[in-house]
Amino acid sequence: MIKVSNLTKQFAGHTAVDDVSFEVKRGEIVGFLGPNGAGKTTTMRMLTGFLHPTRGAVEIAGCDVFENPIEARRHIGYMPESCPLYTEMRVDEYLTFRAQIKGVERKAIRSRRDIVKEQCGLTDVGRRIIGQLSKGYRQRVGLADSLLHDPDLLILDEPTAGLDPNQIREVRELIRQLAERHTLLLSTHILPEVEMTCRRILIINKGKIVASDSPESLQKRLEGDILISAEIAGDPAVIEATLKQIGTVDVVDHEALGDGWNRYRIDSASPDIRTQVFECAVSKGWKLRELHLESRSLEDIFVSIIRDDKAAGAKR
Amino acid sequence: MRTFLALWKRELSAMFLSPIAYVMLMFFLLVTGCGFYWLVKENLEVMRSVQGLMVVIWACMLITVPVLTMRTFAEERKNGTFETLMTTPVTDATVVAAKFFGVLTFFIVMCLPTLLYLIIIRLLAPEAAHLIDAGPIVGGYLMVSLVAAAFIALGMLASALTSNQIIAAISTFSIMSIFFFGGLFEPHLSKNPMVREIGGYLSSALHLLESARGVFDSRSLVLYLSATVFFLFATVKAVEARR
Repeated sequence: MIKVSNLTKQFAGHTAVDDVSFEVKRGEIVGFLGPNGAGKTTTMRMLTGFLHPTRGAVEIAGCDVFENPIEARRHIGYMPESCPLYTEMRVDEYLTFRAQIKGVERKAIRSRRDIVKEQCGLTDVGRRIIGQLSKGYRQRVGLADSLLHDPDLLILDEPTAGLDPNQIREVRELIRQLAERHTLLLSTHILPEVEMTCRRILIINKGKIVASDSPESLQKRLEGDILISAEIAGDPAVIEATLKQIGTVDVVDHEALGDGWNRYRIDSASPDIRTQVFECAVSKGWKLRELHLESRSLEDIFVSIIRDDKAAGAKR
Repeated sequence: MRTFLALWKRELSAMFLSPIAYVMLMFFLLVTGCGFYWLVKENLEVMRSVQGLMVVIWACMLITVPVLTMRTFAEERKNGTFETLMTTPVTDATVVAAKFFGVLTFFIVMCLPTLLYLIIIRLLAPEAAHLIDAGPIVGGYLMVSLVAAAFIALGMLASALTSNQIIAAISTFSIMSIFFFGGLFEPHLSKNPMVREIGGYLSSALHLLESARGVFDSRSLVLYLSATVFFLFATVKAVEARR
């Protein structure tokens, strides 16, 4: 569905996207992750043909986006980051206008409009002026707009940005429904969102793809690494130094809990070292009130991949 | 064609939904109305007043055209709607053409009420009715539309080059004023005959006076048509390049 090869975009003074290549197959739901400023939006803008790349090519459903932009755009439903809309128009008016310029057949316009309004929960607000709608509703109008011409591919740039938790849940549910019928590429920097909706994750950092895999196998990649949380009372400097002497421990950090208690997060390369931590506490006479193995969330994976990438960059 | 019509309609309706359009309409009718009243009072010949009216309309263009065109691209760019617009299957040229004809249509609609002034003269002074000559009036209004087309295209180019509406309006105004003052002060600008001649060629006011006098000058026709085409072409290129 999407085939990106050696895509590069340079702006005056910096390279926003650096030699990125990836593929998305029909029916896939791909989460596009990265810290702010990593090049997510720039990449998506190039996928839709809005920005021209410095080098490289993008193919959407077999059409080259830059050679044959009009045909390629027919396959794409795109919702930009801040969901810009003509705020002086009514919802129905806007959707009709968008259907017209997207080349929806004259006879089909009304029915398509009603279908997407139904899908996005806009049935009651058709006569409302967009400027008077809440952010959540505007987001839905943007989403409805991207669905109007029934595209094969949906590209959503931070679809839940700026929504309240309730609205986020609604939009997420909507996205999950859409995923049944469309190929989806959505960007976000909110990790639970990806964990819940996507079957494949692309992680981009400083304009480069640093990981591309399913959430499960990304998790597996880190399984060797073990993270232990322990609450111990005492002088953190001493305790940290002692903990670091345990064979396989990489990193220890702590956060103060008050009353002399600290929570230590202990990163260890291999085997479970809970017993060693316990024995260490007993032999030094520390008070230990909690000790457990933490399961890795996508957040940890993300942080670790970005960190590894940084370290690799430093070595280069 | 369908996308063009949809975009043109949206451009026009956006203009009628914004308060700026009504302020411009009011300003335009007030100035042309007062101007025409004064012209009729001062002139014995009706047709001379009509010629004068063309110049008053041109003077109004100096304000209305920059203000009407400044939003065309700059506003979309600032609001980000430019991105949603340019990622639909429409060509850059269609968007530029639709916006151009949208503003031009608005401008022509704005000029239409000035035709009422002539009807009022007919009603109030039946004895002058036979002096009203349709030919020069049609010629005058055609030339007004041509001049407007050229400067609307210029204004759109300025708007496509920036996301700041004020900058767009002021640069359009500056370039238009060369054409305005070039003609108005032509005799006073310079002793050098060549400069005076060039000033005369660039004087939109003179072109309008001529056409309202019933003189058909193909030079000014070519000037405004080619300027319109050139500025529209440059606008399409500016839209392409600013990505």
